[in-house]
Amino acid sequence: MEPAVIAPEPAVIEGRMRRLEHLQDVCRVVSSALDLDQVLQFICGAVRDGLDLDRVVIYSIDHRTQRIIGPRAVAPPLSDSPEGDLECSDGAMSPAWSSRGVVPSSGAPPGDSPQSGARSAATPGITGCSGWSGWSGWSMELRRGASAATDVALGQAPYYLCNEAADPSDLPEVRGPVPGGRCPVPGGPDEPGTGHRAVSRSDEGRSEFTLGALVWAGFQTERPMAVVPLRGRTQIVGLMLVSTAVSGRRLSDQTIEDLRPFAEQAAMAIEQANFFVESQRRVGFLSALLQISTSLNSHSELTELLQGACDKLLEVSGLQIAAIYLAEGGSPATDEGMRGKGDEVRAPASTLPSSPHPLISSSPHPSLRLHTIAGMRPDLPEFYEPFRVGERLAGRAALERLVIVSRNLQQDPSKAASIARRIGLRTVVCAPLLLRGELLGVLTAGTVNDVGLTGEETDVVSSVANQLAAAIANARLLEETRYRMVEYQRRGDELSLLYHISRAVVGTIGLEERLRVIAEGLAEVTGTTRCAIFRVDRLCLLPWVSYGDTPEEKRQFQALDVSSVDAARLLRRLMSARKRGHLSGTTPAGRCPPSGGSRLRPPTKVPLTESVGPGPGAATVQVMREIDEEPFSQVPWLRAWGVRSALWLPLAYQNRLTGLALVYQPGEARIFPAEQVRLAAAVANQAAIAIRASQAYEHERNVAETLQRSFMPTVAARLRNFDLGQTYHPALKEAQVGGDFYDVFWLPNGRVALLMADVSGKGLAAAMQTAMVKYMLRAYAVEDPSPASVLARLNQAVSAFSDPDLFVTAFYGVLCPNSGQLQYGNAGHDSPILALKEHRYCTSLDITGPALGMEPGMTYFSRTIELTPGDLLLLYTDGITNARRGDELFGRERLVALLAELEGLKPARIVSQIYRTVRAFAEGNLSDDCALLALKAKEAWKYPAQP
Amino acid sequence: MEIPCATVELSREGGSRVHVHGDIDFRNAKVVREAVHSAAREAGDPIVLDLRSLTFIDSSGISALVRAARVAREQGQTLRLEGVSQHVRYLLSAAGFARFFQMGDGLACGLRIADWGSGREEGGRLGEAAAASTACTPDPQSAIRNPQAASRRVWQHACFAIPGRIELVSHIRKRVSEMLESMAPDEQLLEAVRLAVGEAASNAVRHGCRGDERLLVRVQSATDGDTLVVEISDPGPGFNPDEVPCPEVGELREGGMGIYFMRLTMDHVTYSFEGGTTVRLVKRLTE
Repeated sequence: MEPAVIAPEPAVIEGRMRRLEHLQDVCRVVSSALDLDQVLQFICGAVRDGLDLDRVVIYSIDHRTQRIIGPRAVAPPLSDSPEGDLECSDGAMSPAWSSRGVVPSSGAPPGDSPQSGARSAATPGITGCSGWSGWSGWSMELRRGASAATDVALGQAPYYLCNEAADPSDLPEVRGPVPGGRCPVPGGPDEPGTGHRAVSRSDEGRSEFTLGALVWAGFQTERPMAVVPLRGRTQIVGLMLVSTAVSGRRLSDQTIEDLRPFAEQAAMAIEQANFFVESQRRVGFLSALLQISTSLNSHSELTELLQGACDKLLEVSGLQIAAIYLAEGGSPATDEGMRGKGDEVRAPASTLPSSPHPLISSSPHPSLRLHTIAGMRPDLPEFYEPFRVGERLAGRAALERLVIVSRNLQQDPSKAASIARRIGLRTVVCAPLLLRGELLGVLTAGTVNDVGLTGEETDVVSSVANQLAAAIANARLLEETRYRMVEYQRRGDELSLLYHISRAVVGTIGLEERLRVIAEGLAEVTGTTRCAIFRVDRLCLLPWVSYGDTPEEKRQFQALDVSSVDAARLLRRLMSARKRGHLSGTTPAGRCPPSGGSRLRPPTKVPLTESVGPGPGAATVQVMREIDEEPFSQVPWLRAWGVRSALWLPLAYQNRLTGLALVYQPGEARIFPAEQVRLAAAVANQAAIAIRASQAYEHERNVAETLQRSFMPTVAARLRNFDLGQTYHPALKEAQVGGDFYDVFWLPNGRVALLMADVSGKGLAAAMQTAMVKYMLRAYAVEDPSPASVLARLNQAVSAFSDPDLFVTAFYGVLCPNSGQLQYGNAGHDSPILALKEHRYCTSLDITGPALGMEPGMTYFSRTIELTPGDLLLLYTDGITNARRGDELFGRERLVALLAELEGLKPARIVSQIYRTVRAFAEGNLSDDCALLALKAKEAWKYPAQP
Repeated sequence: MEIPCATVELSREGGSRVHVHGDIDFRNAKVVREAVHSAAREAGDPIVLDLRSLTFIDSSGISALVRAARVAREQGQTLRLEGVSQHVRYLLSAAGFARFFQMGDGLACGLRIADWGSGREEGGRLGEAAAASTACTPDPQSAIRNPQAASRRVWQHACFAIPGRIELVSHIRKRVSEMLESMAPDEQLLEAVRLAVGEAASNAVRHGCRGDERLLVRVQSATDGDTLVVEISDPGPGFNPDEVPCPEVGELREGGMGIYFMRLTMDHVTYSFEGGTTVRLVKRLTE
C-alpha cells in the first residue's frame, strides 16, 4: 500500500489507520494459512469493518468448471449478523461459519430453502434464496457477458461499481452481445481510472444490461455496491462484493482503491488454497496413475488386469463408466479366445497354439469387442455387441487412432453417439490402445454428469490407455511365454523320454535285444503294458518280439501265423485309412513323424496285389478303437488277445516298412491322446532307424561269423582212424576272429592237412592276416602238400605281403588217415604234444623252422611220424601255456601232465577240459586267444581194403 | 616189439652168412654176437657178416662185432664183413679193430678208408684224435662237407623228454637223427651224430636213470644249419669224464668206449653237472 501523501484529515487518517490495522490483521491471518473459508471470512469482516462497509461477500471462481462459486465468505451488516461480531473473533470462527461453504448444503440455515444440488443449475440465474446465509453452494456459469460480475470475473472489466438503485429490468434473462470490445484488456489494479471509465462507459451505454446481469438475489437490491476481482498471479480467482446498502454511503473509486490490498490478500489466500487443492488433486491423480500402472504391470491375468485398470480409473476420476474393447482379427479361433469373461479360465496353451497371438493379428478391418466394463452396466444389448472399427465412438477413435472427447452427447444426433446417448452418457472419451502403431483396442470412459471432462481426466484416460496397451502387450507376452514354457516343458519331457529310450536302444546291439527295448519303450510312452512288434516281409506279418506278455502268451505270439490275407488287409488298411478317414483317432499324416511317407513297395508275390491298389500307399500311425471295427473283426487273434483299442505304429526307415508295432492294453478300450501318439510315433521312428542299424550290424556280424567259421575247420567229420576235437576262444570278445586259427582240410591225395597257427597281434588286423595265411596255405598245400615246401613258400609270401612286424607261427601236418603217418613241419609254433600210447609217454614234436614272415628265404623241414592206435596229438597255441595266474604261467609241463590224465577221453572232451582247466587256472582272465586241436588215433583201426 | 636184429643163413657153398638188421646197440649187441658164435659153430669158413641192413651201431655193437671176430679167429675162421658202411669202417679203424675183420669188396657204400682221412687207421693216433676232439678243436677231417647246409638259413629245434627206459634210447637217437636227416647231410655226418647221441642217450638212461622209469631224460637239440647242438640231461649224479681212460689201441672193453666214440665223432663234447648230468654235443655241419 502506497503511503498517503495527501494532507491528512483526522477522520481520513483515522480511517486509514483503521484500514491499515485491519490490513495488517488480514495479512497475518492470510499468512497463518488457516482454512481458506476462515481466512476469507476474516477478510470479509476486516474489509467491512476497515472500510465501513455494510456487507462484504467473497465468491471464488472455479476455472475448472468455469463457474463462480459462492459465497465463500460473508460479512453481513453488523446489525443483522446472527453470528455476532466477527471482528472480535479474530480468525477463530464460530462453528456455524466454519462448517459452511466447503460443504455446500450442510451449513444451510433452517428457514431457507437451499438448493442442495450443487451443480444443478444449468443456466445462469438465481438459485439461492434471498437470505445471505442460504447461498452457500450457489454457483453461476462463468459466461462472458452474462452479467457484470462475470465480466469482472473474466477480466472484461476491472471492477464494477454501482451506486444507483437496481432496475427491475436487470434480469438474467436479458441476453445480448457480449460487450467484450469495451474493455479488452483487464486493467491492472494500478489503473483504477481506466476500469472506472470502462465501467462508466458501460454505465453510459448499456448499463442496464450490465447491471441486470449481476444477478443474485441479495444484491439486486443492494445499492450502492461494488464488485472487485480477486486477482491472482495469473487469473482472477474470485470476486469480492461490497455494499453500503445499510448506510447508503456511496462508493467511490477511492473505496475500490482501498479494497485492493484486501482483495490482493484474499486472492492470495484463495490462490494458496487453490494451489494446495490442485496439488492435492495432482498428487491424487499421480498416485492413481501410479496405482493403475502398478496394477497393470503386475503379472496377473490379462482379464483381471483390464478389469482392475477400469475400476481404478473410475475410482480416481469422476467418471461413471469405463470399458475396454479389444480388437479382433476376425478368425474364429480368436473369437473363441477372447469372448468376454466366460473364457477367463481358458488355458493359455489352448488359446495360443500358433505363434502369432490372436490379439496381435492385424487384419485390415478388425472388429472391436467389449472385453471389460466397469461402473455402469448398461441394460442395452447393443452395447455388448461387437462392432467394426469406425463404428460408434470407440470405433472412430480406433480408426483415427486419436483420443476423442465427445461432449454434449445428449444433444448429439449422430449415429455414432446413439448408443452412448441411449445409455445416458453426456461426455465420453475414447482412447485407442496402440502399441507401436498397432491397434489393440479402445479404452472408453464416460460420464452421465453434466460436468465436462477436464483436460486432466482426458489425460488420465489417454495415459491409462497407453499403459493398457503396454500391459496388454506384456500380458500377451507373458501368456505366450507361459504357453511356450509349458510347451517347452512338454517337449523337454518328451525329449528326455525319447533320450532314455534311445539310450536304452543304443545300449543294445543285438537285434533281438534292441527290439525288446523298443517294445518296452513304446509301451512306456503310451502308458500301456503290451507291445508286439511284427516283422513286415513282403506284406507278410511275422511275429518278431513281444513285450509284457506271459511266457505262454509269448509262445503263442511266436507261433502266431498271420495269414497273408489278414496281413494284406491290415496293411492296406493302414495305408488307406487316412483317405477313408473313418477310423477314429487317426493321426493326421502331417503330424506323425514316422516317415510321413513310408511306402510299401508294390507287392509282387502276394495274391492280394491288385487289391492293395495301383500305387504305393503311405502307412500311417493308426489308432483303432473298437473291437468290432475292421480289421479287428477280421483278425481273430487280436480279439483273442483282448485288444479293444490299439495303436499301430509303422516302423519304417527310408520308405521301407520293416515292421509294425502294436501297442495295446488288454481288455481296455483305451483312448490314446494325441501327445502319446505323437511320442510313440517318434519312438517308432527312432526304433526303425535302430532296427535298421541293428540289422546292418547283424548282417556284418553274420559276415564276420561266416568268415570266422570259414577259418575253423569244417571237415572234422570223418577222418577214418582219427577223432578230432577242437576249441577256439578269442581273446577279444568283440572281434570274434582272433589271431589264432586252425584248419583241417582234405588234400587231393586223400590226406588231411592239419594247421594250427598263431598270427602275431589280435583283433581284426590279425584276423585279416589269418585269412590270408589260411588261404595261401591251402593253395600251397594243394600244389605240393609237403610241409617243408608249403611252409617255405608261405614264409616267402608272408614276408612279401605282410606287415614287416607281423609273423606267423604255424604247425602244418599232413596226415594219412589210413596209415597214421603224419608228415609235419613246424614254423616256430609251440611244439605239439604227442602222447604215445604204445610207449606210454608224452613227447613233443620238433620245430622245423623259424616263424613265418621273420625273414624270407628260410628253409623249413619236414618230419614224419607214425601215429599208432591210441596216440594223441595235441596242437595248441601259446594262449594255453601263457595263461597266467599272477606271475605264474600255466606252462607246458602242466599241459603235458593234464594231457596224460585226460588221455583216455574223446578229443572233444579233452580240448574242452583243457580249456576249462586253463581258464580256471587264470581265474577267468585269459588275455590271449586259445585254440586247441586234438587228433586222436582210434584204438581200433580200419585199414582200407586192399585192391 | 623187437625185430630180430640178426639172422643166420647157411650158404650152399659152405660157410655161413649172418644178416644184421636195424640198430645194434647195447640192448641187442649180444644177439649179434651169439648169432656169429652159432654160425661159427655150425658152419665153416668163411663167416660173412652182412651189414647192409644195419642202420645203426653203437659202441656196444662194435664191441660185439670185435668179440665175434676174436671168437672166429680163435677157431681159425675168418670173419668177413660185407656191406660195411663208411661210418662203421671208420669206427672200426678208428678204434683199431679193422685188422680183426676182412672187409669184402662188394661194399655198398664203397668209400675206401683213405677217404676218411689218411692215417686214421693207425691205432697209435687214437688218443691224439680223441684228445684233440675233447679239447674242442674242430677237426677239419671229421667235418663232413655239407655244401647245401652252408647256404641255407636253417633253424630247427627239438625239445622233449623220454622216460628212463632203455628201449626208448632209440627214440632219442631217432629224433636227433631225424632233425639232421631232414637237412640231407652226408651219411657219415649222420652216422657220427647218431653214434654220439646214441652213446650219450644210452649213458643217460643206463647210468643216469638206473632203470627207474619215472625219471626222465631230457633232450634238446637245435641246429642253425652250420652247427648241431644236442644236450642230453639225466637226473643221475654223473661222473668225471676225465677219469674215464682212453682205451688202448685194440683194447676191447666195456665202458669208456662210448665216450671215446663221442669224442671221436663230435666236435665238442662237454659235461655239466647241475641237478643231474648234462652232456652237450656240438657238431659242425659245415666246413
